[in-house]
Amino acid sequence: MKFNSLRSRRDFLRFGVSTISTLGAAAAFGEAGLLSASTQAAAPDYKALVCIFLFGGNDANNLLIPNESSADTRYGYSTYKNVRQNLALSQASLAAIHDPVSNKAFGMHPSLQPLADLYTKSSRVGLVANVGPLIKPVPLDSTGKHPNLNAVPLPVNLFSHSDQTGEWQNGVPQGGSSTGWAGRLADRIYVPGCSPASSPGGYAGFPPSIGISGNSLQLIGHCTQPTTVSTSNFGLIGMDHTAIADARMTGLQNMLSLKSGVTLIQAAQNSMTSAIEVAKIIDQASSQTPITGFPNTDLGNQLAQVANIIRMQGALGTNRQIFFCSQGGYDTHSDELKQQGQLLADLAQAMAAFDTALGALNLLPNVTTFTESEFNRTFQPNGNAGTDHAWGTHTMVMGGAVKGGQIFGKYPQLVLTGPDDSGDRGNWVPSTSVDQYGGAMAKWFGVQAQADLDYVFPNLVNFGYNSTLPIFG
Amino acid sequence: MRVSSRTRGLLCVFACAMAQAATPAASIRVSPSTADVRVGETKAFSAASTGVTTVSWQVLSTANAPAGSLGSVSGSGVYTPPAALPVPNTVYVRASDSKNAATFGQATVTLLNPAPSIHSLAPAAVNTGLPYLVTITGTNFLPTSQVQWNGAAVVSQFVSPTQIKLAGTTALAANTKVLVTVMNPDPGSKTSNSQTLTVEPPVQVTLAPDKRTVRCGLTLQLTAHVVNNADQTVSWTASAGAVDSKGLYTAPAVLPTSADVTIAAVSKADPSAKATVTASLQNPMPVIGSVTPAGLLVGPNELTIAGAGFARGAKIMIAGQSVPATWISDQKLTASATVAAQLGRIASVKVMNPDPGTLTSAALSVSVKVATEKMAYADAIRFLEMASWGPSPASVAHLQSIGRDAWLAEQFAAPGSPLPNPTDQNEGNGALQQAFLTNALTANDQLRQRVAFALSEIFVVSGVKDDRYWEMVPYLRLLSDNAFGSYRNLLEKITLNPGMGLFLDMVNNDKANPAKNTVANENYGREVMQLFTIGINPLNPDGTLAPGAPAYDQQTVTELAKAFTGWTYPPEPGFQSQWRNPPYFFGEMIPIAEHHDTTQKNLNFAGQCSAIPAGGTAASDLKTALDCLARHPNVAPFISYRLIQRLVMSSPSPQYVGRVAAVFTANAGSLQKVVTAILTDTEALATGSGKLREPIVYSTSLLRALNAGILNNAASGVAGHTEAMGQKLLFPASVFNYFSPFYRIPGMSPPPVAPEFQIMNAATALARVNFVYRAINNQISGNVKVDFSSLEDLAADTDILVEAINQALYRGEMNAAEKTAVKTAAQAAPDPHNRVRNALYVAASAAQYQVEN
Repeated sequence: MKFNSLRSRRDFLRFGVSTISTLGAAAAFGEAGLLSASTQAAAPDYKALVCIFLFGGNDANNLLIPNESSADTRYGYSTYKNVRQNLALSQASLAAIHDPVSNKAFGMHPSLQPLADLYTKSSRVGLVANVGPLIKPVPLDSTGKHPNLNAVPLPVNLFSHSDQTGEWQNGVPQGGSSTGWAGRLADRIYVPGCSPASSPGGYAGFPPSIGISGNSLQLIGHCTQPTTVSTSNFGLIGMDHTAIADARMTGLQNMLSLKSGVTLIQAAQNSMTSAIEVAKIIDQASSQTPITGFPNTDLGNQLAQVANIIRMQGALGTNRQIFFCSQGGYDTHSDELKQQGQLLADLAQAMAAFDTALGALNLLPNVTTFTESEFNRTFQPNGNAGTDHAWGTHTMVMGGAVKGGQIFGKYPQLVLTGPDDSGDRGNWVPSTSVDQYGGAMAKWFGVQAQADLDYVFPNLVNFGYNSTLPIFG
Repeated sequence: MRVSSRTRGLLCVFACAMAQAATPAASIRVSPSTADVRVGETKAFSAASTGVTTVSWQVLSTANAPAGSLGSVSGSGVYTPPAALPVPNTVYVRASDSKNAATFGQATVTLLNPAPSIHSLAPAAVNTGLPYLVTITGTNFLPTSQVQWNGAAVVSQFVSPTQIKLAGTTALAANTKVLVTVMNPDPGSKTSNSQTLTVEPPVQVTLAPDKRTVRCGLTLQLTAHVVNNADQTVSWTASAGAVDSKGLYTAPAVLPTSADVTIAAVSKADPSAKATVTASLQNPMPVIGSVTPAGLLVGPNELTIAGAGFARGAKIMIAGQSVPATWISDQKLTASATVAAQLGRIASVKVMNPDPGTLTSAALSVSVKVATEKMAYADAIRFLEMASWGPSPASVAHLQSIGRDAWLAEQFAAPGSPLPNPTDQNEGNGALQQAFLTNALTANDQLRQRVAFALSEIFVVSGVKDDRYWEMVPYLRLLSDNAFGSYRNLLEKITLNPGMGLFLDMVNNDKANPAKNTVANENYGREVMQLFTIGINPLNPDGTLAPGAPAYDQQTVTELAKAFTGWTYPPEPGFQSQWRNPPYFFGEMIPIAEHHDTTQKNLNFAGQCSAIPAGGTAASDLKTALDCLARHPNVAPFISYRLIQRLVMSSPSPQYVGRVAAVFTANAGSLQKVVTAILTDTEALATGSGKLREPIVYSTSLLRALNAGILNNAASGVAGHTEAMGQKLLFPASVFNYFSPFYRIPGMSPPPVAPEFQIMNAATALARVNFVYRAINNQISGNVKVDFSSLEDLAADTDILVEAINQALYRGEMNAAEKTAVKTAAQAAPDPHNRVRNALYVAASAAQYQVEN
């Protein structure tokens, strides 16, 4: 179990208050945490965004499947079946849902049944169709049968894992952004007026953005910097409060405070200094029994850790938190049905457990969970019972504030070389941009002024500030 | 006899008195007329007279006694006897008319011996069977006094009226009480009071303490106790060494032939009574004064140790290793010692005396350096950070000894370390991780391994998909075997490797099948361009971005994918091949003609290759495709940049990349030449711009720097730590490796390029520090062992300790503030064990060590 981590760390990391001062400015965010650590009450107006990134490029064509019995090119199951062939999920196996917007039948991957239940029964899950990185909307060409890919600038290096991962996360598919949209969102909340001209990392409070699965570009802000918490053993071992251990800690901190003039040493010192402070604060804030009920998988452990940290948010002094979790393995160039089925089952069970945990915490309306993936996969299979890299994808949003039970955005026509295909294998041109997707989250989070939205999603203006998806009504 | 004499005297006095009483006119009568008077007493007489005016008193004898020998009479008739009895012992005390001596009266006085009295016996005890001399002190002893024990006469010697001595040997039983009296003889025989003389058991001597060992040159205080005799004095002897009169034994300085020494204490009262202790002598505490020469060399040394207390058979311990020594004297040893390179270039030197009482001297620190340095120490360390799994004391010394060029030649010629075969097809990669790390930590083909690892981070195959040992090990062997070969050859080999085929789906990649509506799998076609050859963007020869369209487009991906169709697993030996052979990972994938797409593949490589013509075979199309890619001008800077990043620095200058790329181009992609160019470039040795040690390298570097031993040829436990640090060996998250070559550190202005920082975060930063803690406390596993005993020997002097760590981890370039931080942490620990560990913890976990530059 992963939760032992937070609890058992008490044995790992203990050091006297007196050592905090040696950390200098970096300790500042510790003060906020310490001051509020005495109260476990929820911060007022608490909201959290939890991103689950499906690394490798989830084949969303098998996440959200048309389920009309007609031969409609957009909604007919047969259209899907004819192209997908042996990668098609059987119609009978689908987790059937209904979209009230299009008034059409859809199916979710059978492994997603727990989330389909939340979609149908409690409307806490919604789906987003064909979303992806865009700079501007891609129009149809003069025939109206194909997208005009030359009409507008396109995201750089489409179909590349690394590039499209970056574009989803930084929200600037022209390239060149070293910050992520979630990081910039935190910037504008915690450092009003933060701009590229501001001092980098100027925010000194407890990091509002927390990665649970390593570093992510999405959380990197200009004024705020994320931290990263592991799912286990987050702390320093051997700090047993003896004079010898205290001297060891003091020595470590003394070394951290020394200027070397070497940039990379400074960077490593920053990482370590922050790590020690975050560990200490979380150690002090985590006094409760870990939350249970999650599948013992990597993602299950990540979301469990998120639930634990959300529960202590009052002590951390942050009323807006952004979490980044991830699940890998979606690059299914071969043997896709088996691989993806297992991955989505894990995803659904972990998300459902997270929903249950938030319900127990009475925080369902306060937390919104959403998926991302760098790209969809080709609608047309390859010869290895797999699919290749594509573009616009379908995602899921979950939370008490979500107006679920519906599909946001526009589902593509499943026609190779058709109006939604950027090539000839069903590489859907997104009908909704990442900006419109993330912009909805940003507004829910409280960033609504155009100037702020421009900072978070510089391309949103190209789609209209009011074009963000009505995920929250 | 005496009775008869007295009788005769009485008769005489009586006869004379009768004769003179014939004249009655005047008379004197003395009363009492007879008296016994004891010597020492007095007797008053009175004279009754008639017709006499005055009387005068005198004492007379029948003998012609000298004056005063008869005693004296006072004018009032008080008689005082003489001190000694006269002979005869009858005297007359006469009172006579002072005018007429013929008129007198007298008393006949019989003088008696005095009454003896005993005051004390000294001693008051004697030992049975032991000759004694007892002095009786008292009064009124006479030469004729007789001493009696329980009434029986014993031989005695009169000394004076107040002292009698007894000498003899009694046979009386122990614990007998004897009443001693003195009897004076007649006349007036008298026996004194009694005093008790105790007959004690025979004399014994005991010795304390009962300690049996004495170290040469040291002392032992002994205490003798004499039992049954008042005389506690003893005389001391020792068979070796010396004992003073107070029982303080001083052992000889050097162990005598016999280590057993007998120390004896003899009672002076009874010389036959003695006690002995047999003490075992131990060799002395050796003390080293100096070692000559003051600095030792890696390799053979002739050294002399001066000091004190060196025992025959003493050994010299150099950094805990025993060296046979030649004993010259207790102050000098010599030895021929082959000395290994040492952690921190310092060794503790100690002398260990053998048994009995083996003892080891305090340590002296001695530097251990290379005899002839063809490369400076700091330069050698930096070079090995780049060219190996981290400098170890031995590898640094070797490089310093032979110089860089010879070292490179040696490494290029060294065969690759073997990786064992899997036990079966289902074995996981855990054992392979361990074998990999064992080679990294112990094997000699360091450069080959390090380059192969760098290649594995460019041409990635990951256990996230190839999760079985047999899927992965042939690929690792391939990288090792071809680490110094040509890039083009390597490219073809990795392309045809079944493990790569599985990972990026080239295996069983079929040509398009319209009936099933499938097309060629794009995975390998895409990634071979994006990651293994040319990259996405056009590059200048120095690796900087060139203007223009991307290096390829999606159509080229689709087309190139067709060129890689028609390959399946190699057949298991003894089996026929067919399309979709069962998985088998040894050997190269094999082509199946009918599954290869023979149509023309149109490529858009910025003018390099416009197409692969129709009609080619799977093999010919593959070679053509790879040739097209390998000829692309991006390749040299693309590969050069990444290899520089993996080996040397995160952000090389364009000039550096350009120089290496030029070597790449000029030598047809010879990786040996490229690696040489990378490692010998002036920028490589410049300080201040290296890279964060990636977790695997951080782990191996620390363990090698600390001279860790790997037991059972199994570096177990290390991989789990690199995983916690964000780098699970053989399991990068994807073909994009653990980190991107373009990663920039956020929050810095400007954000520097530093790939390794992509996996540096709060969680992994703590894991890195925790790895240090585990490593220095021997908590990695039972097979990974560090030994700091030599440092612990020297840890009393924290300056020496800090300098050793400075040499080992900071190549001697630790600044004063860093030294202070390390030293302060060390000094907080009172014991050598924690002292060394505190110092190492602070130094090794610090960012200053984590970043090599």
